[in-house]
Amino acid sequence: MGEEEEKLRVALRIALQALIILLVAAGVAIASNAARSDGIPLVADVEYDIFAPCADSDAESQAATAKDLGAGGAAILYVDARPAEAFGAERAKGAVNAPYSVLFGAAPEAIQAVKAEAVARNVKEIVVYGDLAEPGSDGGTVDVANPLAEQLVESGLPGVKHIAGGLPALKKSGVDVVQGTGGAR
Amino acid sequence: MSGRAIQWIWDIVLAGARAVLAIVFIWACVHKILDPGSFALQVATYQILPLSLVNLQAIVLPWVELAAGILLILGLWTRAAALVTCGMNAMFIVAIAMALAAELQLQCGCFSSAEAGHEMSSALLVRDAALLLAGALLAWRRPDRFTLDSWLERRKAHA
Repeated sequence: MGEEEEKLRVALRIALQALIILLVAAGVAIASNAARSDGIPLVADVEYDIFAPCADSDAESQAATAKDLGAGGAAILYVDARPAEAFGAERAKGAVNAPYSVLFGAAPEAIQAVKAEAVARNVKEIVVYGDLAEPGSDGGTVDVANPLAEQLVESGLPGVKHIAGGLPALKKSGVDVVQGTGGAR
Repeated sequence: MSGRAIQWIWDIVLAGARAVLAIVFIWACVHKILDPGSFALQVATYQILPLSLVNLQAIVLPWVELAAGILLILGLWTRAAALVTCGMNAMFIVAIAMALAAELQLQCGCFSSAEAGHEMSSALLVRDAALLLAGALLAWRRPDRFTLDSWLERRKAHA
């Protein structure tokens, strides 16, 4: 038997043994899983509740008060973080809606729409506002302007600010508000 | 240095690599076998495998680790067991590299449960690359003199 042939024979034997190790281990694994009381189904029937956050971005949106907005006459794009119903009922004039979910954030399509609007209007400043009613609390609110603003910053948008106090704070500072159903703007 | 001395050095190096690899894999499989549910969640967290394969991977992988570890420590089918560890280490390296590329902040789940595991870092890649090299060395070289493989071969030669 030649040397090459011997090497090939040894390699095949090793590969076959490796395959046997895999198959026997898999058989024992599946049998023991079936026998044990805390075994898991071979195929998961529901999605796992994964929580694997991405690393924090260095980019942060800037907190602003209603008085700071539009310094130097810069054009502003208002972004309303509230659900579409609230946005349809009342919103800052010229605002676009990007509903923010505490669990899932804003939809990628909504973020894209904000980017497209910012480019189309050539704005230098994007102001995010919006509070959500806090479930189970008597009149309490959750600020979603800040997390939406951070999501916009992470998507690459410059000049993003967020203000606390939601639409009431904007109204108090004299920003024009429009009411009634009528989609965006 | 004589050929005999060099062979002794090789035997000691291979036996050391075999012991390290065996201990690492046996140690790694314990928590996975004891708590398959937690390990399945850990596998899912990497977000690499489709859902249909997550549980199968979580059930089978630890037993393959155990089998390879036991065979390595015994020195039985040493090269095949080492080849199996190479496959697993290559898989771990790809998974960790993908998690690092996606900047996922998760525990590697290699030796302990998700709550107390190693943080994802490039040091894990270096560790797994070193284990991959050890496995490749064992798969490539003839088994050292302290293995059952060598004992069986000597016995067969004297028969």
